[in-house]
Amino acid sequence: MATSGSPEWTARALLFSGRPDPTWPVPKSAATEVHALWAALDPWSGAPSAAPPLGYRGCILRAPDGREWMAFGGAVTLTTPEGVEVRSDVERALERRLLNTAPPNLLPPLEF
Amino acid sequence: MAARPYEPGWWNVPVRQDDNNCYNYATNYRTDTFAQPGLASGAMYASLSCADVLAAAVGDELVDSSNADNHCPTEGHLVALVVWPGGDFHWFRKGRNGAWTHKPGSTAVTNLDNAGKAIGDPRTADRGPYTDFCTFMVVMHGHIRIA
Repeated sequence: MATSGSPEWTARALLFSGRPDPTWPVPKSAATEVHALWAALDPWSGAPSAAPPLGYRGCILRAPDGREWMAFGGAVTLTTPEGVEVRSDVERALERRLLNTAPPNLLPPLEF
Repeated sequence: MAARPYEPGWWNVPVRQDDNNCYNYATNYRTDTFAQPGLASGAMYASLSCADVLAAAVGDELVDSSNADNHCPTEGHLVALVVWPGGDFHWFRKGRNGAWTHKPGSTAVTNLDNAGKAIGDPRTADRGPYTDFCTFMVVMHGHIRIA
């Protein structure tokens, strides 16, 4: 996983138990698209749904400045040094767009 | 001494949680390397299948105990290997209280399966995509080496 200060946008699928989770660089153009999707989301009310222990648990986009978006179960959580903000993504459009930036064959078929 | 105690508080802290996986937890062996079966013996699994991961774990000196039938050994402690075919492997460990616990990847140790239920038998637990139950194995304390 990229560390704070990494010069590139990176994504990580929260997926495995024994093997390290897949990570990949995200082109700035795709990151911009994801950010535009985020900007259009409405605030989330309530607690985000918890992921199961095993299998797919969400996808993370990490910006070069350390900001981190985590998408799972219809909610997207942005974590920054200033705090945490959760928005609603019922159609999971942001999550799907982010997963679609993965290189071919990096991820197993995911059902959600 | 036989089964390990359930001690999630020791594992669920940033200095240990992120870099130790299910194999570390099941074997009760902290490496901070996300340990992979067979890596320490120079024979890491070649595929994500029961046969390959089992062989790799045997190389690390875990003892295949396919006939354990969920019963604790007189020496060491019982673990269970399951596989997401072609995707990943996962391990559970049996505790002193008879319950099974696990540490999914870099997440916290838990005593619950994917259905949110306590795990009495990993063969019948809800394991999500880890559909293949491979075998029970025994970890003899001090005998194994993982990396």
